[in-house]
Amino acid sequence: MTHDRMAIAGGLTLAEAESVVASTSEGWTFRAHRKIYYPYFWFHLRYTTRTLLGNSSVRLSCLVDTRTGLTSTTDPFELERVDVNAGAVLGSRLAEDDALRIAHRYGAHAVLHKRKALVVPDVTVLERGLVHKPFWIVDGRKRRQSSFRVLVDGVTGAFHVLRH
Amino acid sequence: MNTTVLAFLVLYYVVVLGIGLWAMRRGATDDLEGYFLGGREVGPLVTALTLQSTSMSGYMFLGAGSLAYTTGYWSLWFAAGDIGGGVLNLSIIGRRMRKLSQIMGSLTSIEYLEARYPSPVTRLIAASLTVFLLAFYVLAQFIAGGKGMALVTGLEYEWALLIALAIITIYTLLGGYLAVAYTDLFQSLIMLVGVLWVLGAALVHVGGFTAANQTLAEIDPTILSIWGTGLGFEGQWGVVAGAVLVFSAGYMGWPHVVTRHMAMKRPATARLAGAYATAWNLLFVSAPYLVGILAILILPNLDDPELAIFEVAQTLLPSAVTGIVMAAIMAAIMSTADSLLLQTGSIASRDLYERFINPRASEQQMLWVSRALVLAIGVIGYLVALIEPPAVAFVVIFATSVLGSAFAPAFVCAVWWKKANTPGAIASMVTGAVTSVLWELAGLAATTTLAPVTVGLTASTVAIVVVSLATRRSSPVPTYVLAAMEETARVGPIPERLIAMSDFALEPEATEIESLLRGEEEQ
Repeated sequence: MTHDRMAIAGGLTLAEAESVVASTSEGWTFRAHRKIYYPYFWFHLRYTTRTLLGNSSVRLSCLVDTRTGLTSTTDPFELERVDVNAGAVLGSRLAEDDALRIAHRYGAHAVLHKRKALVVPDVTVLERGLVHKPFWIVDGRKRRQSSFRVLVDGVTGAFHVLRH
Repeated sequence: MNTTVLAFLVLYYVVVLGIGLWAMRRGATDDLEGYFLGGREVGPLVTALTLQSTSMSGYMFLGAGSLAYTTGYWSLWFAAGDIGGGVLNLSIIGRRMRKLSQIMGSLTSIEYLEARYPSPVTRLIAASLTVFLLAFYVLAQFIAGGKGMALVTGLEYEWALLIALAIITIYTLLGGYLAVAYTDLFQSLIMLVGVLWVLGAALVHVGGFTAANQTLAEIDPTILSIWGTGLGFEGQWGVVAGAVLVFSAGYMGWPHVVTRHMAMKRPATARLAGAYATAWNLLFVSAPYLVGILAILILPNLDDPELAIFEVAQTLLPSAVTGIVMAAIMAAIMSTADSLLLQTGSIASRDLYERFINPRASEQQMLWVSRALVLAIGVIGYLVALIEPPAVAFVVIFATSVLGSAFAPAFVCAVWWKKANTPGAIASMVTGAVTSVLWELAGLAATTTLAPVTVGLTASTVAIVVVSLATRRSSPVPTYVLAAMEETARVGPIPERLIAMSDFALEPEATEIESLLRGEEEQ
């Protein structure tokens, strides 16, 4: 069974995911064998703070991990519709309103500390939605040595070794 | 009043304001995500320099020069600790703390301590100590600002102090300081250029290091000694250890410094930024101390040794350059002061008021708590700095000693020792702070030849080890904390470069996807 999902566009192909990891590990062979879509609530927010020179507005994109509640800022991205198998999508555990509260707090913290401003910024939600980011599971192997598994961010190419 | 100096000082602020305004206008039309992502947009070089400009306070220009002027080459023990401090900090707790804080989802260092050592008491003690000591540290910046302003404008110290304090407090309250990465970068370069210019001029004036040392030896050979003028610290290795430890191990206890480890994009950035920061430190840190030593020859009868660098600049440099040096000094003071005030205000409102007094507090109420605290620090700071101003060096060394003694073992054990538990950490924080404060107040350093930071660090380390072991059955470390620590330390049969380049920000996603894969295999 497949599902229609909004995903962050411009992802890495299977070959690109393999070569990203291979470039760091001479002598190892890598095989990407599965793509998993991870859910986030995305909020595009505008923070307005008062300064000595008038109001200063900053727009900020936040991704809230819908399974752990952890938040990060993100570069602008485009979205695309994708059909994905049910087993390739992780479900959400967080309600959208809770995610928005987390994003507000995270963004306000970032703005105040970077601006060094002891003020409450006004927040406006410009855009919001549930988006999915693709991740590749890549297996690494070397002759007679135990293999390991790497998670490759299908958008940025960043990677992390998996324990499993 | 020297109008040329003042004009260049004003010009400096116009440039800083211009850069800030440009960045702000850019921000009004473009998204500034890269800016908020710190190291990614501006790279490790700018990251390192911006960090250095905010961490180097008025102490470097007043305290360091004064210490060197009064104790000679002995003062370089402090510089040695300062130069190595950054690398020590990054290598001991940097990478692991970056990972562990990410896994535990902590945004601030106080939250991180409470997550690793779960108890409201952890937060109460850590936040209270931090608020008090950061406020004390700000006092040094007020005094430094007042003295600098008095010298530049020719005003009486009382009025100059009031003006400096008002400027710092008002722009912090109004949120008007246009702090962006590029203003910090500009400030750090001005600071570097300013101090090296004074050092260069001083060296030319005295005929180079060799000639200077020969003349110093004729005045008093003990100025050249590693034991201080008059051999005042001869054989006192405990005091020497303290001088080195204050700005090396002591920095590990600074909550606003360790927060930066949590903000790093990835360990590779930390490594490169650490290298740049060390290079900057090598160029910058010893320069104020050396100018202080050379000032003994250039201005042998200074009334106030804290003004050694100011006076050397005024004596040897053209007015325009003195203006740049003054700007560097004021930049160091103001960039540190507003960071500290902001940090103190947010800890008081979030970690104390919201957490313990009014959990339903609105953002507006918390803002008022922060503002009230900043205002109170301003008023108390003014009175203290006016009635009986302590030496800038004393305030900075005292605050760093207590913070280091209270927090360094807790931060180090948080990532390196699985048996460190909540009672151990609380005992360590309290023991470290109380011991170092009492040691200082009782003047025990002179009689025992052991510096407060040496004793405080030893006592807090012993406390965390003994109490953690004694209470390991009644207060075991939670299993989720142990699992997070194991993950933090994990290095498998995996190519080294791949691990070095891994992005630990993906840790939460990796954990969730691992559990999905594991679940599928078990079915």
